[in-house]
Amino acid sequence: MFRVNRLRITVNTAAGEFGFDEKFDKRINFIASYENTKGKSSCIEAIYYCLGLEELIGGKKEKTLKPVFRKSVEYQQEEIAVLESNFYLEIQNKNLEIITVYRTANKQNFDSSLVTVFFGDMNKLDRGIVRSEDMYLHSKGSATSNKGFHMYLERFLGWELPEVPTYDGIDRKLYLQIVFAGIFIEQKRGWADLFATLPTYLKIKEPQKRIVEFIIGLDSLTNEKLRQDHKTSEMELKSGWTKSYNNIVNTLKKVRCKIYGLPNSPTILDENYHDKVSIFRTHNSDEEVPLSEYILELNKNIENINRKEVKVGDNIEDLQEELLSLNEKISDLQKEVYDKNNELVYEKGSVQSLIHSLEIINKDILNNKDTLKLKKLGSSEEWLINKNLCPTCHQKIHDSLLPQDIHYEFMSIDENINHLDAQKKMMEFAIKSHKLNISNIEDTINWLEKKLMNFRSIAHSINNDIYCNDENLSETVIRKKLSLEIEIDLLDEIEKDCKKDIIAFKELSNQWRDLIAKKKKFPDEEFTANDRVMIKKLRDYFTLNLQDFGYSSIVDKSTIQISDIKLLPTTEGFDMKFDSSASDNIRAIWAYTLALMQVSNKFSGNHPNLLIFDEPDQQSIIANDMKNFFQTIVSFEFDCQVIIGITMKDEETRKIISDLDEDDYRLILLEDKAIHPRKNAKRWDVMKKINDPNDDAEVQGILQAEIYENTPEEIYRFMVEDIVDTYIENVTSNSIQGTCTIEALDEEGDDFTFDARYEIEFDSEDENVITNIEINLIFD
Amino acid sequence: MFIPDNVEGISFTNRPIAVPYNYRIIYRISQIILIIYYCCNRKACSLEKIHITSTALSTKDEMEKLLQFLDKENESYILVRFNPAINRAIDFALAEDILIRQKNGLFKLSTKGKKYMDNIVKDKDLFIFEKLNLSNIGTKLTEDRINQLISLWRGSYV
Repeated sequence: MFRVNRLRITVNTAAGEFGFDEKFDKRINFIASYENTKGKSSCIEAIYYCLGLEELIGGKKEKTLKPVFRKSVEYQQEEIAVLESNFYLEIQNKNLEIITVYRTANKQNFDSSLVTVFFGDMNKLDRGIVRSEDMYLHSKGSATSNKGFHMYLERFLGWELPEVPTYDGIDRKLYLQIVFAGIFIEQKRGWADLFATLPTYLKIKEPQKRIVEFIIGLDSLTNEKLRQDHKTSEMELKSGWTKSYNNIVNTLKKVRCKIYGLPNSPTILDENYHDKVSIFRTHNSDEEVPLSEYILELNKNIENINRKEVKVGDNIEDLQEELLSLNEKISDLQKEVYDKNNELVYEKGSVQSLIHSLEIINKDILNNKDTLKLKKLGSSEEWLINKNLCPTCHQKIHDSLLPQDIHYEFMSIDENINHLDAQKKMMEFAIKSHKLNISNIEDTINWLEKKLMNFRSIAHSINNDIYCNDENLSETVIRKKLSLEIEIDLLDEIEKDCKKDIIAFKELSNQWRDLIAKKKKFPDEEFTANDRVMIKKLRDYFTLNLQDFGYSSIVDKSTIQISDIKLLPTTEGFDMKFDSSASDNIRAIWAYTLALMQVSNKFSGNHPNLLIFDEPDQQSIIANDMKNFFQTIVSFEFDCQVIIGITMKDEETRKIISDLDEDDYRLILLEDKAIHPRKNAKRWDVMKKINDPNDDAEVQGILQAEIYENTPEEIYRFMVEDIVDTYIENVTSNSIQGTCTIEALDEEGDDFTFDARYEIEFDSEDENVITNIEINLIFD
Repeated sequence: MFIPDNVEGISFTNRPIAVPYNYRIIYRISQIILIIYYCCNRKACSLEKIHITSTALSTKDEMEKLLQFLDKENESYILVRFNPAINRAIDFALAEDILIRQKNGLFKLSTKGKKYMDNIVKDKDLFIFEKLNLSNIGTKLTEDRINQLISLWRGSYV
């Protein structure tokens, strides 16, 4: 389970250090005061802030914090300016790993969206013996990237947050700050409604429902995930299919062929679909004949040639006629090649000018982004001209250096960037299509030139034939035959390849069929039987809690249901809030928030077993109900932690708390302001000398320590721990032990001596790394 | 205008128009601040100098012309363009208390302006080309040189 162990706040002010440092080690931890405005909420908000969940308070970064951390501390009727604030939160997960999260506010040269994670508890941190890592928040990727703090926190909590649909049509991760809206109840807005502090700008559809699903671990979320998987495999299949299809089309295009009857997107193909697929060849200009027929015709031509006399003298007349027509064809072809080349030059020119425009647009985008950054620089953020106000007359101005009296509407920089991005996309698209044209034209030119070459060589052969001896073998006939045979071979091969590719579509089609079958099998019902059991249990716990807390707006509790649509409590189909009195609404929030944790524990869901309630005594709740609320929390059989901010205005409230079993609660009573001067911080000389016979070592000199939260004994222990490993050298084995004598000073400055037994284990690979250190102090 | 009979009416939607980045107030002001930082030893700067340098930053050609002019002591003429957008930017900067106009008419940065300047200069991703070009110009364009240029106008145009 997740636990908040300790919170330390230090506020550096013009009048020294102020702070707060408390442990939360019991089941219920009260941060209490007799009066208001003592700083309870400030402390609770600091927990939110450390976890990067300040959006639940309504905003990002330090501006959401109370002025005591940003502007001024009030102390003894004096306002003291705040210089910087530091927050440390020690948290622990179910594997008992402990980390300390550190975040700053208003600290010079420190971005408050930076979080430092120390991999150890706060005591270790004080002595600087823990490894740390910087992570960031509130920027793109903080929930999904490895350096993002929320990604880290998610893993620390042992969660795997699902991807959920959003209003943008893209699936996004269910953000941590959304889940915690059902776990941390904030004071100002938290008591208005269930999940009232949900940040809405994240555009997640039905966020309340997603929270409940995730916290209690409903199958419907897994189903949602399966649905996602199907979607991805559908995409993959589609793109695979199109790729194979385009492959065939492109190969065929090179020999002026087209394919018909093959679907270009995934379909279930029947057994003999390949019979229906046909390849046609474009003949002459636009006449199309089946490829097989064309090949047959070529074969027939060869036969014709074979039948012909091969001697020149026998067909001299034919030869002359053929030469004439051939020359005509050649000049036609030459003209065609010339035209195509012109087209090519034009297309290439277009591409070049488009690339130039694209460069300009890219530069514009870059400069616009710079401008946006300039606007957001810390030191310019407050300028009036950055809020589109005239610095002189505070009238509205438009953000342009054109004359201000032009009455056009101007784009904002963001809009401008989007506008340019759209232009960029258009340019890129145009470039792509021109490039496609170029490759098409080049293919045609290639083909034409090949044809031209063929014609020329035949013409050359005819010429040779005409001027040679009549008895000679006709070169023309042989050449023609040869070129026909080459063409037939080529087409045969391509046809064979294509047939093979077409048969490969069967496999894709099978995969497609399986996918569709899987999708069909998918339950129409959103909730599985298991889910129903959990939802019913949620209802039971909820109504039981309501009864305990004295909820009376609805007498017949059997009308209360958990709605399937939102997974929120309804009565007779309506939101329960409408039928509840103001104080009963508060009771409902208690009941539901606790019920979520109870169900989650019953069915091993994802609840972190930590709850925060800030001022649950809203709307003058009757003290007895409050008592039952605490009793319910104490009675839970599972391990959990609850942090409650409470004002103990009257004797009754005080009594309720003091009536609780001492082992169950810790009362952090703020008699003064929560953020108060750190009076108990005290420096004193601790140690004079350390003698270690084991290593002939002798460390001399006075060591100072600052006592804050720790007992003197702890301080001595830390000191020994720190020193021992500095003087131990020449380690040969994996562990070393010994006893040293320490000459120390107590808090009053009197000398005394004590022994310390130590045992240090080193890493087996690197003897400089200490894996374990144990110190026992022996006082006389 | 010819409108076919079957067209009942034409409606127009007023859409916002795009503004080039160098016509954004903050961009220009930042540019002026950089000019003062790189080309004036962080001291005061005349209006003409801002105009000349800002024109040079607009295209590569203009920049080359200015650099040529600066390299040759005796070649003493360049065209000075006065861009009203820069004047407006200066007005805004004065009103926002980023620039201060001294008694001698030169402009210098206020404390607020200096703080902002530090931010832009420190950021390595901002104004990469501008910073390079401006440091090429450096302090070569002196106020004396500009006054000399202005004194020529009298001779040529009166």
